[in-house]
Parts: sequence; C-alpha cells; structure tokens
Amino acid sequence: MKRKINKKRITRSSFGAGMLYLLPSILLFGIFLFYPMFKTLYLSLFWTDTQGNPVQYVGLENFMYLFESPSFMTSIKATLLFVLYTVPVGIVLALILALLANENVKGIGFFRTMFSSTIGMSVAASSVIWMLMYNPAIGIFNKILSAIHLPELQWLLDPDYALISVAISTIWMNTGFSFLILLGGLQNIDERLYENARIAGVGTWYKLRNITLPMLSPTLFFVVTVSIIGAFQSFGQIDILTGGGPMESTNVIVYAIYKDAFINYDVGLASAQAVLLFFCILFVTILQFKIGERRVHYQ
Amino acid sequence: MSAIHLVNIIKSYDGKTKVVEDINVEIQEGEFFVLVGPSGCGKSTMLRMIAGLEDITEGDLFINGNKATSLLPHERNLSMVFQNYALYPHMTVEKNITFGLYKQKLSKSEQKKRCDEAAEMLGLTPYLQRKPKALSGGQRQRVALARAIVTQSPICLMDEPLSNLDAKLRTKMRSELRQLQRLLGITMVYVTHDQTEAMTMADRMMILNHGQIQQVGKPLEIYNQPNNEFVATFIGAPPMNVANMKVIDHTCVLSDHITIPLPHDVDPTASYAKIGVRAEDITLASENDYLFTGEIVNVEILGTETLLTFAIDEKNQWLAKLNGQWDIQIGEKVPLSIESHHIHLFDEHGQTMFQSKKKAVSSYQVKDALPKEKLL
Ligand SMILES: Nc1ncnc2c1ncn2[C@@H]1O[C@H](COP(=O)(O)OP(=O)(O)OP(=O)(O)O)[C@@H](O)[C@H]1O
Ligand SMILES: [Mg+2]
Repeated sequence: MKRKINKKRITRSSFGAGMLYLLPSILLFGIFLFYPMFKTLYLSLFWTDTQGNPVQYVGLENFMYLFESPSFMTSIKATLLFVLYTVPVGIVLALILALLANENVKGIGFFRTMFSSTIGMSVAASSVIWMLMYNPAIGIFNKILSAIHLPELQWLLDPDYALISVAISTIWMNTGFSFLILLGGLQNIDERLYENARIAGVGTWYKLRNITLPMLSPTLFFVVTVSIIGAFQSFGQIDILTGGGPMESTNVIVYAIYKDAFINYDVGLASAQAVLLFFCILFVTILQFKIGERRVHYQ
Repeated sequence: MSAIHLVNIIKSYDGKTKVVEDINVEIQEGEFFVLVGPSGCGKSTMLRMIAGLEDITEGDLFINGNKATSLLPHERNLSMVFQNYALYPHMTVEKNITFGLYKQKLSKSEQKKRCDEAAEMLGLTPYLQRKPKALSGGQRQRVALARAIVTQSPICLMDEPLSNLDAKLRTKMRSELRQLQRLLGITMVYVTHDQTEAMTMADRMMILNHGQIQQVGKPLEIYNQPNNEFVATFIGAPPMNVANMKVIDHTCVLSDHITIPLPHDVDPTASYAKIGVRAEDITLASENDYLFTGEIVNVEILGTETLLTFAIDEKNQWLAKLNGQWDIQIGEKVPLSIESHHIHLFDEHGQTMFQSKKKAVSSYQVKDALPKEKLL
C-alpha cells in the first residue's frame, strides 16, 4: 500500500519536472507556431476588415471562393511547377557535387568550401545578383546568348521563362545546403564497405547503386523532404526577382498569400490559402514518409 | 613456392616517418600466418598493403611468385575479413555473402550453390534472408567469414576478426577458424594484438614493434627462444619476469638477497644487463636447490595453476606460476628456486645474449620412455 503511494508521488513529481524541462520550447512553439497556426485557421473562416479583424463568420466560403478562382489555380500550378523544377535538379546537382567532393584528392577542401558557399548568402543578396545577371540589357546571360548567336531572352519578363529563371536561381541558392548535408552523409559511410568492394572488384556504377545510394538514403530522404518543404515556401527570391509576375506566372501560393494579406488586405482569404498550403505540405510529407519507410535503410 | 613474399617493404604515409620498415618475409602456401604486435605497430598497414588497399612505398610484393606490388586489389585473388565485419546493412545475409562473387561472373545457380555451401559450413542457413541488423555479433562474424570463403580465393586476410566478440565466443571461433582454414587449405594472414590468439592459432607468427620485425617463427620457438626483451615480455601470459642485474663472480645479482648462478656454458665476461625468467620456471625450492625467499604479496588461484606475486626489490615484482592448487597466504615467506639453464640474459639494448634451450616434448619421447606393452 505504502509503496503504491510512493510510486504515485514519484510519477507526479517527475511529470512536473519533465514539464519544467519542456517549458521553454513549449513557450516558444506556442507563441510563434501554435498560436499563429490556430489564429490562421480561425481567420480563414471569417470575412475580415482591412486591419485583419474578423467581421463576419462565413464558414467555408473563403475556400469555396478559392476553388473557383482561376488566379488561385494559376498559383497552385506555379507552385507545383516550381517544386518540380527546383527539387529534383537541385538534389541531383548537389549529389553529384557531393560525390565529387567526397574524393580524397589534393586541394579538395577548396572545392568543398566553394560548393557549400551559397549557404552563406542571404536569399535577398543572391536574388539581387541574379536579377543583375538576368537583366536583358546588361546581364551576363544575354551577353552569352548573343556571343553564341542565339536570340536574347526577356528572362524575368517573359511568362514562359520567368518561373524557370526563378527556379534556376533558387537551385543555385539551395545547392550549398543540400551539398553540405549530402557530403556529411557520404563521409559517414564506413570506408571498409568500399574497401570490401575494391577487393571484390565491383565497378564504379555498381558501387554507386548498391552501396552509396542505399547507405545515403536516410540523408537523401531528409534532403528531399526539406527541399520540397522549402520549395513550397519560397518567397524572397520571387518577391525580389518578379513580384509574382509577369501575368501571375510566378505567383506561387506563398506569394499570393502575401499579396492578399498585405496588399489587398483580405486576411481571411489569405488565411484560407495558408491553411490549404499547410495541408498540401502535410499531405506531401506524409506521402513521403510512407514511401520512405520502404525505400530508406536506416542503420 | 611461397604464397606471399614481401621483399624490403617500407611504408610511409607522410613521406617522412616510416610506419613499417624493412619487412622481409615469406608466407608459405596453406600456412596460418599471424601478425602480432602492440597497438599502432603497423599490423593493419602491412595487411592492407598485401590486400592492395594501401600503396607500398618501397619494396616488392609477390603473390604466388608473380609480382603484385602494383596490382589492383581484385587482381590479387584474395579475400579479406575486416574487424567490424563491413557487412552491408541494407542487403540480406545471402546478398552480403555473394557480393564478392560479382567479378567472377558466375551463373545465378552457381552463386546460390556456393552461398549455400558456405552458409551450411558456418551454420548460417536459417539466417540467409535476414538483414545483418537482426543477427548477433557472432553470427555477423560468420557472415563476414562466409563472404570470404565463397570467393574460393587461395589467400585470406583477416584484421582482428575476433576482437568484437566476447571472451567465450572468441575461444570457440578461434578453433573453428583454424579448422576451417585447414579444411579449405587456404593461406591465411591473420592480424591480432592478442598474443594468446597468436600462440594458439599460428603455424608461424611474426612479431612487430614500431613497424619493425622483432622475430618470425613457430609459436613455441618464439616462446622459448625470444630474440629480445620485447618479444620475451610480449609473448606469454603472464609475461616473462625481467629485472636489471649485474654479473659478479659467475652469479647474477638482482638485489641483496636474490642471486642466481650463471649457467656453465655462458661467457661470464660479456656485458649482461638484464635477466628474464618465465613464471613457470620459478618453482618452490626443495632442500638442495634453494635460491632465495620470496615474500608473497598476492595469490591468484586459477584451479589448474596458482600465480604467486612476490617482490624482488622495492619497485619490482615477479610472478611465479605453480601447477595445481596451493594454499599459500599473503605475507608468507616462500623458498623459491630457478634452474640456471632456464634463464634468459639480455644486453642493455634488450637483445638476447643467452636463452633457455627448452623444447616441446614430443609424444615419441614419451612413448620411448614407457614400456612397450603399456602403449597398446
Ligand atoms: N591513413 C593513415 N595516415 C597516416 N597514418 C596512418 C594511417 N593509417 C595508420 N597510420 C599510422 O600508422 C601506424 C600503424 O597503424 P596501423 O593501423 O597499421 O596499426 P595496427 O598495428 O593495426 O594497430 P591496431 O592494433 O591498433 O589496429 C600508426 O602509428 C598510425 O597512426
Ligand atoms: Mg589495426
């Protein structure tokens, strides 16, 4: 009997201690994550005034409006295309660079620094540089095109090319991060596995497919997940390079949210889009984990 | 013809310091050859040079009489087992085992047959479809062995393959490995830092220290006739007792009360600096061979033998190993004896100047000593 009471007391006091340890992160998450999240969910069900205060409860009307709006459909299309352009190419590029930089040759440190250096550039600064490079009159890309006698392009002003142009600059910005993580993953692979392969005499391609990629799969999975989420949420480069234009061709959802909330002052509508984006990312991530479970080999 | 022949091998990683130096050794076909030495002495480096995983800085390597110094690892026709097994965690045991057959271009059914044979031999058949994660340490070890065996390479290299196993399993695997090697007739080069493993498994062994060969020979030869103080104290458990001494009047003087007469055939004028005595060569004295008295500071009874620790001076202690069980108390003063032809003498550099002439007793000698009718 006595023991039981004791046990209960210990459980209760250790629960208190546990909560105490959790308190800082619960507070942080609560203020900056959970509260805004629920507020957004709440606001998405209202018509709001220009200050963003809820005026009238409208149920799912904001969502209905969105699904019928062609501009929202353009946004979704732009967002999905943007993910499609940036993620696969970005990761394959980072992987190739990481594989190259993982070789032990003299001076490799220089290349490792170079390849990862984009991590140190802010999105804003790199966007400005890319904007100069895309400039039709003075930008380097058009100089190159004219040098090899190709017609010059209106990189950021042509609706057919604007999204691709933004995607290219985004790939460049994200490569450093993906490269660094993938390189770390490669260096974590036990060298003995490769030595055994050398004694067995397997070829480079076989080694890549049967040792490197499977052993790297947890890292790859992480990079893919983070990249997809990052691509869904890209904002800075779009704001600086195109401002969502031309003809809404680069108006990805995050940018549309920004415009609706802070330019059109329709916070309810913006919130509804934010909620949709949230579920969209959630869905993709869950899907990924389901696929990942079967394909990823954790040690 | 020797299976592996190393000629004047030198290895340096940084171009300045030599990690192994002047290695000359021939390893015979079908031999179980053990490389043993303390940590960092260059054993793995030597093995990896033989495997081709590490460049040879200077010197030549011959495999089956052919120059192999600059062959690629897979051109040397050998297999290797790593200390941490280096199994592929994402492949099944079967895939792991057949991995090494990639270059041999065997048909699927031949691969399967070889894999099944090896698995059968090592008791792995029930685990073929499992991933390494779902195996015990000993089973993983066997998978690594099986992977080496399936290739049917005539030479197998092993780098401390048993060091991740617990003591009991290690003893068991030691004998299994040895039997397997005999059965398949492979030439084995085996690296270990454990002198017991070396002594119990080797046909011949090579003792390395600081990248230099200290001695090459059969285990018992090395145990009985060590080349120098390092070998004497490295091989054998407990290690050989060594002490500084002076020769005065044809007697080794260790301290005030411990003196040991020199054997008759020793040149008394040479400069001896140290004396070495194996623990089992120190015996309880009887009336006519009493040499000195040891005050016992520790007793370890192991069932078949008793280890006595006694002080020879303020700083140094020696061990005596007595057969059987002895009820001796700590603090007791025990009369001890050493036969003078069992001692080893070293000069100030630790080189052996005189060594005991002990040899293993062969069964023929025993048989000769017995009356004929008892041998039936
Ligand atoms: N890749 C390397 N680069 C530079 N020095 C190395 C390298 N590998 C080993 N060494 C050095 O070479 C020496 C011998 O190393 P080695 O691994 O051969 O020792 P070992 O006898 O196998 O030791 P252990 O029993 O601890 O495995 C060590 O001093 C080590 O520091
Ligand atoms: Mg080693």
